[in-house]
Amino acid sequence: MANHDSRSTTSTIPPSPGTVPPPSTAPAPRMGVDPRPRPPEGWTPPHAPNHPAVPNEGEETVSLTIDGENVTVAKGTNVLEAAELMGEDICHFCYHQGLSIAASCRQCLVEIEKMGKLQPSCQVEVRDGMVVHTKSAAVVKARREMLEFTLKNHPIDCPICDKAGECKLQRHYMDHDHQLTRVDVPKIRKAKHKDIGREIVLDQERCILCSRCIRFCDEVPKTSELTMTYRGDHECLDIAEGHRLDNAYSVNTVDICPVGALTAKDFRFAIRAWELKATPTTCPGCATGCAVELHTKHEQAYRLVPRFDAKVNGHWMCDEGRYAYKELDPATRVHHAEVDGVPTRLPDAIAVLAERLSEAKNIAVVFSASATNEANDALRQLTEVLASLKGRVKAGGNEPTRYVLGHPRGEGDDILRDPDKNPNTHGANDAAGDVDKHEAELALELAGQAYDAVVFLDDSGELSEVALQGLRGITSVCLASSRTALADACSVLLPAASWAEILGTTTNRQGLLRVIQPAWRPENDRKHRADLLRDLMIAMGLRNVATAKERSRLLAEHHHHAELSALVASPKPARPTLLRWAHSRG
Amino acid sequence: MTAAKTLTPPVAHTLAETYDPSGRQAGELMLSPSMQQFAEEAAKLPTEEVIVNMGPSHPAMHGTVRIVLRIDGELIKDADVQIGYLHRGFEKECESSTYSQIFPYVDRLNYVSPMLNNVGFAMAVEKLLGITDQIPERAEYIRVIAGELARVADHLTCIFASLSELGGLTTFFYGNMAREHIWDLLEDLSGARLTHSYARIGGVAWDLTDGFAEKTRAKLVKVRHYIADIRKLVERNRIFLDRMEGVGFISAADAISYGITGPTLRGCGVDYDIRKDQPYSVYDHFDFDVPIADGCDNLARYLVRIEELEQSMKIIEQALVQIPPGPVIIDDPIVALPAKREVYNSIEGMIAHFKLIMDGIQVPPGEAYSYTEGGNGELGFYVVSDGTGRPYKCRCRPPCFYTTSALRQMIVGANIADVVPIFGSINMIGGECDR
Repeated sequence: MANHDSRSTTSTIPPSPGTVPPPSTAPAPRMGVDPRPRPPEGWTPPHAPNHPAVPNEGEETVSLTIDGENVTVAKGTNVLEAAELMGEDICHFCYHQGLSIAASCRQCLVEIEKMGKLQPSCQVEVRDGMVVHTKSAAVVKARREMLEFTLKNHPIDCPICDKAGECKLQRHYMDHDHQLTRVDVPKIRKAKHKDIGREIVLDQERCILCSRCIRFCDEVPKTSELTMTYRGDHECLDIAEGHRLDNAYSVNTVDICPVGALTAKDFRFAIRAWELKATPTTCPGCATGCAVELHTKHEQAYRLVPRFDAKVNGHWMCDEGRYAYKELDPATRVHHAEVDGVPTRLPDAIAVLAERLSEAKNIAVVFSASATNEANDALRQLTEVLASLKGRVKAGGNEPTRYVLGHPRGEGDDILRDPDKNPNTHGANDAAGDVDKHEAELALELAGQAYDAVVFLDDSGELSEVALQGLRGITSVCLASSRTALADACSVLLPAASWAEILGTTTNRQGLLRVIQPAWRPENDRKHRADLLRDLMIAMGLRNVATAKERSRLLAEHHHHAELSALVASPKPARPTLLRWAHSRG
Repeated sequence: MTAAKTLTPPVAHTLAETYDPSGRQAGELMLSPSMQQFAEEAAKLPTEEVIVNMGPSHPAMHGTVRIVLRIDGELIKDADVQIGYLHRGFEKECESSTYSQIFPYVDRLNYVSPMLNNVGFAMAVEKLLGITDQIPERAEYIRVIAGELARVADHLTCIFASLSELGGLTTFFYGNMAREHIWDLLEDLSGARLTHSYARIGGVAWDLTDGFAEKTRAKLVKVRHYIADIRKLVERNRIFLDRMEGVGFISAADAISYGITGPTLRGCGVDYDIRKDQPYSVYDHFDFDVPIADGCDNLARYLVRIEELEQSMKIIEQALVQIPPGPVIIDDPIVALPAKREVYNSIEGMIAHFKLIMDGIQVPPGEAYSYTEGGNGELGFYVVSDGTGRPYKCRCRPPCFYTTSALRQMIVGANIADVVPIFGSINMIGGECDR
């Protein structure tokens, strides 16, 4: 997964050959899973330079008047944040909570008593006794005039623009401007669809020169590829001479771009933004576990975008993680159970499997660092059940051997990316009991026919061809959501729901519980892995086995996780919101 | 307010107090002595109650309704009126459509007078937006003209359909010809014969076509001819009067407590018409009467409808004279779509068009109920907004629903053959009743 080369280029501009990321200087990737990934020494989540308005406990506060209402906010915050806390939407383009302040768009001008001119509210720090007017005639006039100015050279691109529907310029026009044009001179032409990086296409005409993307490149990945060139009417955003926008976080510039000047090659012309439904979930791309939104339509995923989480990822996520949705490809989904290559009803498949496992002497159970805590916990329970199953023990069955499998290691850095490309290494190791047995050991044993049954919790492990050959003759079962080489090699397939279909949790490298929420209901026979294993244990004669939801509830109680508790307690599943009505973006 | 005009049915009506719900009135059936004897003997014979289904697939059960009748011979002992066969989830559909996308849905509520539904729904949203008094006067006049044309089509349909079911097929053809003229006008106006979607929030889609007034006046002359012919054919017809008079009785008190409005209520002698009693739009600019009849029966409902045709045409003629020049939709870019010239040539127009189509008109949070006089009575739309471009909840108060609830009371005690004229006279429209 997360493979840049595997993306479908719906864009008209193919990634140019000269823009492949430079080869990694990190040591050669080792198969296997880091037993316990940790953030780098001294790591903190990306810093948001602007102080939020909500005061933390014990923090110093100031009181000011905004539109005749008294409001008490944290000291050090700015007027724009304070007004937003009151529900006053001061329209702005260049201000972003996670970036330094430029005050270049002049859109957030407000009137502050005892200050001669209108002030940019993003730049003015709150003071005690300040009296602010955000709706006075002068402010409204300034706002409309600035918008008219911004729109003067904006191309008539909405019908072909990827940002349309989540565009700040569109929204502010409808909320604050709504006057028709007075301009009768031609618009200034600049470069359209300029290929500026591995992931990004730039349209200079659409750019409103807010400089958010420039500040992002300067401040977060600290690579400074972007700059302004020329002046006045002809000023435009461009890549610096000899550079390309190829940093590992470049697609964030697309998210923060208030208009459609920067567009992602992967999402260009794929779908209109307002047709998408947003599900708050967690990125499964690496051990960091960034808070993300999964954008979907009709059981198909289209993109991942970051969601603010101060404790983990701030406002950002990496480019690599954005491709995690590719593994939800509907073409490779496993819909029904299969026994020895024959599609079977799920209860029948489980009955057959229960019988075969009860008869097996040597069993290997393979925990997965990319499966949820709930699934790993259910497999731990199954291991214990198999170890103590009366018939099996009598016939000389051994205690199952535990392995942990996951994706191979990749690149990491000090910002967000972790070299461990599994979302739940902690959870898998907790369930497996910190065994140090991974791909290499399992491959050797399988090639040597050491087991007559093996249970894979996930389809993501990468085993050698010889090891896969070894799976053919034995009872090998894979709880697969998509058809991988491993899933195809196994004799029994159980259709498992992917991370876009379940409520579950992973444990990230900081030890924090990260919540995964369903974007759509599992199709056909697909089920939560923990529920499939529950069915299996019930088929073996066990009673009172916890469902996936009950396991989640226990985890929520143990971690005092309010969000998860609420999700588990709610009788109705949380439903994704359609971006068309949500106005959460743009 | 003008005095209501009371119509006297040509034949003495049945009084409520003396009405015997168990059967026809004494003296009403004129039987020969031998038949009388036969009837008396037959009445002594033991009979068995039978359950009979009328509908949902029955030529006279328009709108697809099913009535389960418990009959004893010809006499209806009990009836179970079952609606819902035309349920399409209109109200639920609205919750995922922008306000403008709902107009085609409301066309399909009362599908014989879609213009009235269009206007009723637009008024609810305008109330929420607080722009009710900013609608251009010309738009209001066009709404009245279109609405009254639709009312004429609606009443004509009700009358000729039920007359044809009584055997008067000629009236069916006359009525249809008249309605054809109305539909020609509505087609001229909106481009569609049935599903017009002509109203917009803030006005109407476009102005009257060239020569619309002249065309309308000419057509109304023809329509009046057809109506006069229909009246001549039926109003002194013995069969018609026997089938209509004293049949389908519902008292004024019962009608009010059932929530019945419109021609059915006015047929019970209650003088209530929203256009007159709670004037909306520009209805207070016109001189028209509210006809009432106090027969409480099929005939009274027929008489009210046939007179309302004339009153509606009177309103149309006055409106065509009074209509002022000017715009036909509100001049507010966050409600009305900009002109195409602006959309294709300026980013401002493009954004406005784009956002109004894709996100819908942003209606402030709140709730509003609009009530207008539809073809069959009070047509209400209750809209709740959560501040987005689509309704959080949109409830329609269909006038037929309340009239249909009283249907059981009207048909119990009547004969099987009376079910069809009674059902026809209340003009139940499935699209509206079942939504």
